Amino acid sequence: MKARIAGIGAWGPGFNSADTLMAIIDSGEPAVGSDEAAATRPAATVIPPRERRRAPLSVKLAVEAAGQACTAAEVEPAEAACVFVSALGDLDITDYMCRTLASDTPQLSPTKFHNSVHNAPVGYWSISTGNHHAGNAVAAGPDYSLAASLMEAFIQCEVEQRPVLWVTQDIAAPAAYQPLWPVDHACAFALLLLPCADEAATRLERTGQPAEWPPLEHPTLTGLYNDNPSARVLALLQAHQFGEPVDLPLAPGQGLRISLP
Amino acid sequence: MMQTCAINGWTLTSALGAGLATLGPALAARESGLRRNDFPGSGIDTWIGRVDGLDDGEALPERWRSRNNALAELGLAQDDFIGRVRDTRDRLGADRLGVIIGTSTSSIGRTEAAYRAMDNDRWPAEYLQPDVHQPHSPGLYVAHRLGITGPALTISTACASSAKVFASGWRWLQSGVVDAVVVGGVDSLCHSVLGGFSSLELTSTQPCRPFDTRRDGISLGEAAGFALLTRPQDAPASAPWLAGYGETSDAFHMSQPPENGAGAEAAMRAAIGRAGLDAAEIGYANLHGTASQANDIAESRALSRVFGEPVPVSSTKGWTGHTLGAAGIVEAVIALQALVTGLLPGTLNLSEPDPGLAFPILQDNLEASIGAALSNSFGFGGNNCSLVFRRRLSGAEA
Repeated sequence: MKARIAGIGAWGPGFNSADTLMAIIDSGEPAVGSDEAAATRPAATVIPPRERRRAPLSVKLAVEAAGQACTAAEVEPAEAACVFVSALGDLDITDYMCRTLASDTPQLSPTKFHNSVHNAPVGYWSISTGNHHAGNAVAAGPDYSLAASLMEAFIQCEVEQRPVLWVTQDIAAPAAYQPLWPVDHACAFALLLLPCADEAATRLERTGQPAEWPPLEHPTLTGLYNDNPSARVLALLQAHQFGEPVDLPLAPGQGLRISLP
Repeated sequence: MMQTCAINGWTLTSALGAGLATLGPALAARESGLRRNDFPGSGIDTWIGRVDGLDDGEALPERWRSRNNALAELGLAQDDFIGRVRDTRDRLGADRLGVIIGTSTSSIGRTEAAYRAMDNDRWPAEYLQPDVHQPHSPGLYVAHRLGITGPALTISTACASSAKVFASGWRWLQSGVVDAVVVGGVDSLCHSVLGGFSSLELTSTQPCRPFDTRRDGISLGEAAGFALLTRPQDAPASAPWLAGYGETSDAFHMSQPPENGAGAEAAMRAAIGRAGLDAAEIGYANLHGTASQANDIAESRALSRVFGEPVPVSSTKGWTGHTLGAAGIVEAVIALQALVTGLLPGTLNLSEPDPGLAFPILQDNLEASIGAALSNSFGFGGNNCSLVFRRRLSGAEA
């Protein structure tokens, strides 16, 4: 499986773009203005104002990262098929729905309900950008979502010979979920993939062997990497720095080797 | 380049019963699986397509306990599906099979129960099930239950989920990343969807009446269905083919289709085109046909532009209810059965077709030998997927 990574988007605690993220990785220090980025929601101005008011954080994060990746790749947002990922889904909305249903007044907000679908981020993105192509929303659990969804996106890019926008986001877990998923910060990352068969391509191949998540040693990013399933994409950036392929868990007992150009 | 993939076995469990043996007779006799809402704890005045004999997973190991996994288990146990997968696994190797499951609710019914049982903002220990309280719950369970160790993915694009699994499954085979893929859908009734669709005023107080002038909403249902996709050379000569798929986005509204059905039209055209067929060669189309005001009109307009001349098209949601993330596999299986048996189901509860429809909808069942069948699934977020199945061609034709 081959495709060229033509654009990157990123939003999370201490970074609000791929550039600020790279600066953090390179320097080991929080980026300038990072407190602001951590404290605010992304503006996500690509979403029309009326829809933006209704859009939850999960949607704004995904759309922000998606827009950045398209801009960096100089690909029209309407032109790429979409594979949007969240390992845990919108836990804020799940928490709201389950709390409300367990209460004495179990009437659900219609807006919250239609925002509860796993494909809300890709739905808002397609509506905001006029994108009529295939829009997917997937999950493969905290350990396997990253590799399995990248595999899905690379396959789609290669088989359909079309740009594919891969976007992953996970938000912080509400209190009730913390014993299961102790996620403390929200983040989103996006990669714009273009069909490519030459040496500029990133290559994915199954290893046939188990793989473990490689440790990420960094003064400010290790916590995020360890607790937020979407932040596991940082393993790719680390591999890029080292200039070596990286094996990531794809399924129990199965690894996916990612070789960056 | 692989032009198609084979459907090397399939099964369906819905409100009509467990397994294919219950499906055909219920369709032929026009016996609905819908009943007045008796889902425990729900006071909503509506009708539902509930699967009998399901508990909340009490028979499953605690790690997996949920109604959704209980439904997956019941579904997998039908039509020797497990045996068929085992044969394929033994031949190809467990890691050469993949799993792609569609769902909209995953095991959220279990999460609802955890919140009901919550004490001081903490779930009781029995609910601390990491493999259940996440979107990938059905993908994990199916891979575990079938002993498949290759890649597994859950697709959750609302009501198009388990149609899109066929498109992804095709691509996985084409890319060579696996040699066979179990695709399917599992979606179970829960308060989130009963309460949610009720809050949108989309549920009917009657059994749903697709395309009828008096239609006033949907009947929710639950179902589990699965299919085994392989390359044609790995399937018996009798296996039908997934000949085409079309995936599009409306780019219009989170919970409403555009009035002209443009996204639905594009999905159907893409699926038929990929199959190398003319629209006139489609012998039957199973429609999304939810019985919501907006969907049925928009879909009929899309049909009129794709087909022009009438072909038998129907909605079977009057039998099964709208099974959301499982609707794709439910209706794919009904289309496959139509291809194999020649029974084209009509539309239950359609007695007065809406005069505003742009395309005639089949009311009564029909017996006809057909060569190709189409199935439509459209979801929230404007997510559309159409599939085309056809009988296997002879070597010369292929």
